[in-house]
Amino acid sequence: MKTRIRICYWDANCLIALFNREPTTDPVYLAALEAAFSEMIDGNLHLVSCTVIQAEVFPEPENRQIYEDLLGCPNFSLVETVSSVYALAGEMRQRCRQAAQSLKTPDAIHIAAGHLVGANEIWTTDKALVNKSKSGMLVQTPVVFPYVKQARMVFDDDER
Amino acid sequence: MSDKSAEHPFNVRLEPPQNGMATLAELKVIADQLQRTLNAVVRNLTDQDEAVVNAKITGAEIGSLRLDLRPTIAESVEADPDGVCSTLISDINDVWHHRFRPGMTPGLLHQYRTLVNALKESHIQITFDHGAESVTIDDGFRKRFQAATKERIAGKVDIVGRIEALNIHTKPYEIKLFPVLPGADPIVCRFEEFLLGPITDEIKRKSLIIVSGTGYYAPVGLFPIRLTLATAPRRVDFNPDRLRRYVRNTNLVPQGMTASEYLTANRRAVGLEDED
Repeated sequence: MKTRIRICYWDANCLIALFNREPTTDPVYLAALEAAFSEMIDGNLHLVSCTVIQAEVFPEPENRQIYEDLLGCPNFSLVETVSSVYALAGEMRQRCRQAAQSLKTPDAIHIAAGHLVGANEIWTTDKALVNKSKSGMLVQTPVVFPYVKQARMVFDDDER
Repeated sequence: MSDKSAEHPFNVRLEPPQNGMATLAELKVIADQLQRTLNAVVRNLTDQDEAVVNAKITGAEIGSLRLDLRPTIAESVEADPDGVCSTLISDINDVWHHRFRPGMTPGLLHQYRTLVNALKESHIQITFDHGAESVTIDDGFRKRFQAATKERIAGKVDIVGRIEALNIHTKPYEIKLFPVLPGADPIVCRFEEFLLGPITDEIKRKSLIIVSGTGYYAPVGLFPIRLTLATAPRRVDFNPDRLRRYVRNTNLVPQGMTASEYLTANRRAVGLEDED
């Protein structure tokens, strides 16, 4: 039976970390972002983000080509921030506020979009978001730091 | 291949108005739509495109017609039949309350609407029961369900995908755009005659394109269900080498600024940053 390829949502932090010449994040996360980006280009992973990245990451005209080239990749999707995204983002912000924590609107928008698009995971380099996800204040879709997916070792005994 | 069965039966009751009798044609309509809906639910819950629910009839009563069904699913499908039945009933009840389960696709919502309206013309009341859950669909329910699922118009949207079907037999002309996101429903794009040439060219080329136009959205899903094209589709290039060259090789964050400051400044410039 055909099962869909893994869908991974990236927030703006991931894209800045991946493309920027000077490192902006932990080398372990950066290596994982590079590996995942390469998997996407090879067609083994589908990456998703939302249209706000145009303003968040690529506002300068000289970098617009990156945005255009990402759109051309058949394993990359951008989703619009429609009313259901805002509604879910608002719910998360309210939940955080009740727990005396803050959640910025654009961060909430990314997490809502990642959840609603049906991503398997939402990747970020923002520790606060990962912690909020762990404490159950965000959505069911896990918000995690970038990591390298370990290849599964198959030994002869496993197949018997 | 072995199957797993639902623990609780799934009951369907049809009650025509004024103690009337349901007809074989009406039974066929509801059976067909229920089967399609159960399949749509299991596919939505599992991401397995070919998963199906086999609903065996284990009992039937006439009068107000009642069918007892025992839904079964292949062992290889990662869903349990009771979960599928329960999702079907709770989703329909929730939509009536204007609540939408995250992950519900516009295609599934459309199928729910078709099921709810299946016997609308004959005003037949339909009840689905499963364990402790139940939903009764009458004319009032249908009216409110219709209002809850009304589509919303968005401004200009751009969608990347492939065109795989063209209808120019009747107006408005339509194409079906398949977004690149796995599992996304196709989008019906309507267009005027002056766009026929460029669109036919793109269909022949089978290339990846961007279409721009006014989007009409269901209350669920992040892609429009329908699009009215304003301009001709634009071809997009997939250039793996150029994409790889951007990695750790682009000046995004200005000197003297951290990534976090850069992001905050960009968000602030478009009014996205808040005080929290």
